[in-house]
Amino acid sequence: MCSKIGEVKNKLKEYTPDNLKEKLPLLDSLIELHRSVAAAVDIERSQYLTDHLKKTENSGIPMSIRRAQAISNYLSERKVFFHDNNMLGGATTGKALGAPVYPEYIGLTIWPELRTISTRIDNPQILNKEDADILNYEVFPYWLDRSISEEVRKVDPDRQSLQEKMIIYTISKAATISHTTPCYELVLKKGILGILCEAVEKEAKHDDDDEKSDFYQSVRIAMQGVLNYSANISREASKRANSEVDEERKKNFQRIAEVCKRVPAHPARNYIEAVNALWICQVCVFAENSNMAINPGRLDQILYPYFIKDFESGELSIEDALNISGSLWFKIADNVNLVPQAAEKLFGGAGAVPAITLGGVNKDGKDAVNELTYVLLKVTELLPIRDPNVNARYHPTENTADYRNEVSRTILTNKAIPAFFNDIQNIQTLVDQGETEEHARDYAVIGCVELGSVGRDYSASSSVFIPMYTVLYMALHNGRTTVTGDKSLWKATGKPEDFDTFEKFWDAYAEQTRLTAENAISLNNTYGKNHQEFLPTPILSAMFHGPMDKGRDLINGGSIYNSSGVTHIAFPDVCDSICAIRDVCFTEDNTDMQMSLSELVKAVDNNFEGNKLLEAYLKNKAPKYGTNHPIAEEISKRLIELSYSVFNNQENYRGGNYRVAYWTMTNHAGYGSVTGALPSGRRANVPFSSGITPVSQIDTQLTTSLNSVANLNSMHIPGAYALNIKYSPADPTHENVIKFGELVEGYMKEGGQQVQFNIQDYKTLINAKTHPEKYPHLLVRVSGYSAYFDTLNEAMKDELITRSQYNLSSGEFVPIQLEGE
Amino acid sequence: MGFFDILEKQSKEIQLSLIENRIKALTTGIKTEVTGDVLDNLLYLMLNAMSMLFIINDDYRKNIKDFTGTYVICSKDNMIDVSVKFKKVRVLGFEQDGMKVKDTIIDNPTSMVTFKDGKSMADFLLSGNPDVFVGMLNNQLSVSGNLNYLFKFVYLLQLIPDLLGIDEFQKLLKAS
Repeated sequence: MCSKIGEVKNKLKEYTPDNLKEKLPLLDSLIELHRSVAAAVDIERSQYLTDHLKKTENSGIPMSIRRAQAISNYLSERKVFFHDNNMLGGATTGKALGAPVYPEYIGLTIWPELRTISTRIDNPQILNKEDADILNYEVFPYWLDRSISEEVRKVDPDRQSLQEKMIIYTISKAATISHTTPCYELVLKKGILGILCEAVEKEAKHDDDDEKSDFYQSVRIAMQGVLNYSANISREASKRANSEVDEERKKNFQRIAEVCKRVPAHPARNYIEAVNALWICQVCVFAENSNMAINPGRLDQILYPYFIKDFESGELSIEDALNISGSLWFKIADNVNLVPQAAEKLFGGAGAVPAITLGGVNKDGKDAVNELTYVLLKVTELLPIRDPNVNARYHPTENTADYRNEVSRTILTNKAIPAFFNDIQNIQTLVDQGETEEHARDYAVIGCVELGSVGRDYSASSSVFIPMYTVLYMALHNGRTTVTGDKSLWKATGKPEDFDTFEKFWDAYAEQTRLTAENAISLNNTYGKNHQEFLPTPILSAMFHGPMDKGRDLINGGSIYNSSGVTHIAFPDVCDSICAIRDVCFTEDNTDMQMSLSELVKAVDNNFEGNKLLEAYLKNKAPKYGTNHPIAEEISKRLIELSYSVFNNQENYRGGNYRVAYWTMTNHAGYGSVTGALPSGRRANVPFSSGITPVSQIDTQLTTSLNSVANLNSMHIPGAYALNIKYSPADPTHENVIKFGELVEGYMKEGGQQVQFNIQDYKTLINAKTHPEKYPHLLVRVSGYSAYFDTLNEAMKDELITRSQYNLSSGEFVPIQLEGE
Repeated sequence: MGFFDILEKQSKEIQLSLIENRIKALTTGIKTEVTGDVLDNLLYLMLNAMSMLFIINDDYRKNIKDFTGTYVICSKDNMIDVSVKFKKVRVLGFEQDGMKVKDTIIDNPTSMVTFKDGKSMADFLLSGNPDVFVGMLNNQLSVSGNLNYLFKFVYLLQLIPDLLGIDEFQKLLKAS
């Protein structure tokens, strides 16, 4: 262990959640404020964007330039706010907790709610009448025919219409450019002025190439906006400092004024400049792109040189480092997504899910954990807030057990964060995807759980959602779905009575998977092409490796790697359903329960009414994924292999491929609540299991369950997965920390990619649902990100309550007890 | 003021009075529908009220300035077939933004909603906070065409009870 790490760790021991008020009063006040503030809709960006696009509608200026001008104008003109005593300058919106409107994406979905969004039951977002009128009369009408979904409808109305059925597939590009991790290190080293100068030089050099010239021009224009924004922050802070009577606040404003005068225009020289520069970059990226899972990345690596220099020189104390880093945490948490009521019902409770990644190995494959890693873990422990989504990379042979245990202790203390990621498997899977070893080693977690080399892979990792239960339904109903009428949607692949062998049924399932994939990919690529035409991203492009060399925007393939992600909903439930089909309909020596597939489908479609015996058998006796049952092991592997073979070699609109993943945010609960019964014995309207997590309430040892997941071929899950484990509460004693860490290590050594935890018992969660006022900020992991329990929809709360609970000491399954207080 | 000016003024006053009476009748009709068991005419009454409100309420009309969307609202059981066209209309001698309602469908509307049946339509309209996505997820309705136009239309619909002086539908339903 490096001696400085020991010194830092010793100093960090002084700070605990219990003495936050006494030791770190700034962070204590910020957490109080964060918890008390209500989300509010912010329209400022949408006004600037719309006004500029209206003005330049028939100007003949290319869209890449018009959009860069619009965003640059907004950044240059937007009001500067200081909502609290945070040490950093810059804010995503003009509200303390803002939901920015992106009319080019799905902003117009709140049109019907303009009068009611402030008072709706599910996660209200405050919108005053004046702003609602501006949206209604000025902003939204412009986008009626121009939002990205409507542009896509003009090209592919049929597939767009299927997207709106909501259960065939979901293409996230309707709402976002998709999840990715920029390389803010570029800005910290070069400064925005450096990038701007590069753009000016290259624009001149390529004046005979319109595409390149336009791109560099757009970067130049956008960077000017970033510079103007930071200069305005500096000016406003200076003004506030002059009028402020409180000495502490005056000093804070003076510091912000000085810092923002320097960065991000110029390279950062110290820790606070680096942190503030990074934050301003994130704000500017949100000005250009919707605030969904744009990730700060590997903060303990990017910020380390600035931290250690200041720490060693004595200019930065541990207290300062905690205050500055904690300030960044609150800044990152200053925004939420604007979503319509229905989306709140289905997916409610999400923040903007910016992921921070700590630990792991460096580009040489050696231990990258450093002093700052421990500082940021301490911040994570002290500040149990929804965003950022903190993730800890762990390399079982390179990282120390001490680091592993510190991550474990943090999780046991704050009961949810961070998640663990296995460097061995994840690096290998990225290399298998064609990334160089050096680039793969520099991966960061994106949004929920996805992987991408920092600033090198424009990963668009949440591009496509495949509801596997719909594919299964089509395979069992001759290609029909519940929402597209009596005819088969893609192809008639046979009625249940046509399948006289399991393999014939499997072939139908595989064919429906292929056809769903083909159509989803086609629509995603159409969206992508429309993004290329209407939504170029000069700011984000300037913060990636590749675009400035190629003279090409990220969305046109400017990045080094250009993958898209495809995640799957209800893998465990569908796996169990296919196991049940094989067991009950196609296993001759099954003497407990046998029936034809037609009979089984009929019983399932009737939600097992009058078939209690069958339902009980399917729930309790049929093979289940997560139990090491040989049929389940085989089917789970075949399913993984099938999706990989269907998607991995498909080309996206930027020339990259589609990476398969299994994470579900809260979709599994929302969609489960509106979906019929399944052959697994799951009744209608019950949440699906999360991510790749085996279905809950199966009486099995935790290690058995973990082994089933670890045995899946992670080379075929390059987009990663979310595995959720719930432990009975256990104090972070040395013994518990070691036990916790060893279990994670064992799972990783077996091949597990990722695991995340809730340290909660059934009773607490039931009480939190019944008496939300007693648990106002209960932090939980859903399937990928963290959320406040009381902001989740009913289905998601139920899913969290009923998740299998295990005893940390014994690994034994704890059966559910449904009584609360 | 000359004879013809007086005549024109009186004519306008008569027409406005007729419209106001028509709105009152529609309001009564809507209240009766909401509090009664049969909701067959609710949509038609609301759309007619909407078109009348556009004539006399300048603030409400501001919502459809130069707006030209067309809509079809129907049901799978063929009990509902309504089309709505937003366009310039002549009112009291002047051309202004307005809408026309017909009990037949039109081809190629900008946006089309198909309810499962009359009950689904009534549930949607009377929910107090109609939500297109929830309706789709619950299989109560399906949509085709431009969704943004539908969002706007639902917003316009939601303003009607207030403009007619009807308490929220939910309150009326509870009272009944």
